Amino acid sequence: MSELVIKDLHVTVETDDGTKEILRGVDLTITSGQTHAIMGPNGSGKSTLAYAVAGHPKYTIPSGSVTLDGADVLDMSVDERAKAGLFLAMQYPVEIPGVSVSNFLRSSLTALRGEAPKLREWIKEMNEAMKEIGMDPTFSERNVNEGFSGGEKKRHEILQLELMKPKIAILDETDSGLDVDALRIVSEGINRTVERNNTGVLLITHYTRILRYVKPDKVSVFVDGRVVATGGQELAEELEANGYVKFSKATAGA
Amino acid sequence: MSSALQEKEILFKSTDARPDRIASSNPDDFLVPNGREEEWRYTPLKRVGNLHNDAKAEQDINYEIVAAGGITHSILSRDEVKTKFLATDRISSRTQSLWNKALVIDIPQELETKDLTWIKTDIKSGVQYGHIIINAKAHSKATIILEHVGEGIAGVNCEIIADVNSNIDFITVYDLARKGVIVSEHQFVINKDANIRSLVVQLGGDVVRYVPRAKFSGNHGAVELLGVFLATNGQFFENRVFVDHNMKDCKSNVLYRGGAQGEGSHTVWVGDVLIRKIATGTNTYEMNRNLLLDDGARADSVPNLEIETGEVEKAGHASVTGRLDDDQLFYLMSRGIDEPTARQLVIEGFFSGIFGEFTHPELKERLNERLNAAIERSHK
Repeated sequence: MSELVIKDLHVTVETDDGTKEILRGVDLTITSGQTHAIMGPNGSGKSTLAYAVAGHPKYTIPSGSVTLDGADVLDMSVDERAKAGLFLAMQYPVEIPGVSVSNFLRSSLTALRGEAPKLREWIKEMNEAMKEIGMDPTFSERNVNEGFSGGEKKRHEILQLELMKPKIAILDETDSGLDVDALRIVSEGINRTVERNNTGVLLITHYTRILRYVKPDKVSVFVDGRVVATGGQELAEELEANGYVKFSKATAGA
Repeated sequence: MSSALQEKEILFKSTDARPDRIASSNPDDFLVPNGREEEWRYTPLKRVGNLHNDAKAEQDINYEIVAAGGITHSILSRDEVKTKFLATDRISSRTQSLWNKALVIDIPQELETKDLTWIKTDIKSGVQYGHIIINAKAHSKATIILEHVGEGIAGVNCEIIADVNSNIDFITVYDLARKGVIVSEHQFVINKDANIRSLVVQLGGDVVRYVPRAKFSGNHGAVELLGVFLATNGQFFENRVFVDHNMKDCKSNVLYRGGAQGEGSHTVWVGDVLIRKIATGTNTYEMNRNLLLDDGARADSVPNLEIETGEVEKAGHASVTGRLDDDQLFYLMSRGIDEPTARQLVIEGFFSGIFGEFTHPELKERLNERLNAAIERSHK
């Protein structure tokens, strides 16, 4: 049983116009085996939340805390966070020229497991995982994300999620840019991970579409750098019907 | 002025920006450089052991050869060697006039071999000059590796002459000890339908200056000049490429990838491609990409393309110098990979494409081992 606890998290970035506060006191708890959807309009700070928790150097955290099973996540380097059991599926996965998918995955799993997977078992493990997510085995010889279509990039992120078996996974708009078939395949991958590995998922999304395939235990609405409402599936349905207008007004008035 | 036996040709006519660029066998055609000349502006002349001025040979250069079957080699004195080598700068020209023993490698007509031919020169302490001639006869096919190691100071030139329809892979590795200095001019002459694929790898040494110059002696020739260099710990590596398209329908491809890391580390790449009036149907591309691994390192990159005919098939040049990408490192580290390993992966990836061109497995493996060791040194 794992728990990622985010308390009163404030995050700033440096811009040409000076320091800008993007997150203004976020409180969230993500628990093993549970899926927590975060929904919000563009520019509300959803991606910043994901990257700040994963430790991207661009973001500064003036106050607040993030703990994983009591351990101070903010005190860890990026790779230590991954080793502690955190995973971030990126909205825009980065291309790494000259580094093959198989070399990348093997380096990652060697780091996470503390020893290199045995070659024969590793190839079997990778091929099975690739088959489940509908990736051709030849993908393993391609360079990481280089020349991948939008859908291929997202499948590759979920492939990593399934291989790395994190305690807590943050999925940043994994559904964006996918056609309906790809959305279903990716969603199945997320559901498998929750079921098999008891992973706790923070599912960041702009649209309710993915929630037809991945059923959230909780839904939070994120506006202007904080959580403004939390509820169950019915909250997502309300957003689908009425949009974010009501919540935006609520913050403006607050 | 040159004596009757000596020759001189003008490569580039003078412009407002620069004087005539010449090729000559007479050192007196080149003034002792003071560092302000265009071709010497980057080179740290204080660190080249006076090769540019008056350094005398203290010993003969030492060549070790392991040749593929059928390939012959001999070490000859000056009066036994016929050479048309014309130097394009002061050090090259001094080297040309000061060597005592040349290594001559002959690849006989129609010989095709997959076996590697290794030439190793161990640059011993002190100053030495050398000259290497590789004669690939018609329809031959071979891979030659020239490897420089050692801690001394040397001028070593090389001629690679590819006769009709020959196919030569030529790899030069500079992996000298930290204080080693070497300055080389390599001349590639490509005959009709011949193909030279050349790769230079610069990893070790204090100063390495490499001037490859390609020209054609028949139509429909092709040359690839590839390079990989990684300067760390204050090393200086310079590449000055000159491709002279002086025949019709020839092809050239110049691709250099470099990295620099650490205070005072400096790399230079200057790529000159000249397409003469006669050279219609030319297809040429040159590209240099550099990776600066920290704030103390410097990379200079200058592509030049001069076209004297309107009838080229393709002519392009490009140069990109950038830093290690934070987002790439973040991506790898967010998958549990520690920072040194992440850097190693990104840097290896950056260089990987160039070795990919050379399919000989043993060679590729050895080059990769060397490069990866240098990358590892760079972040320790």
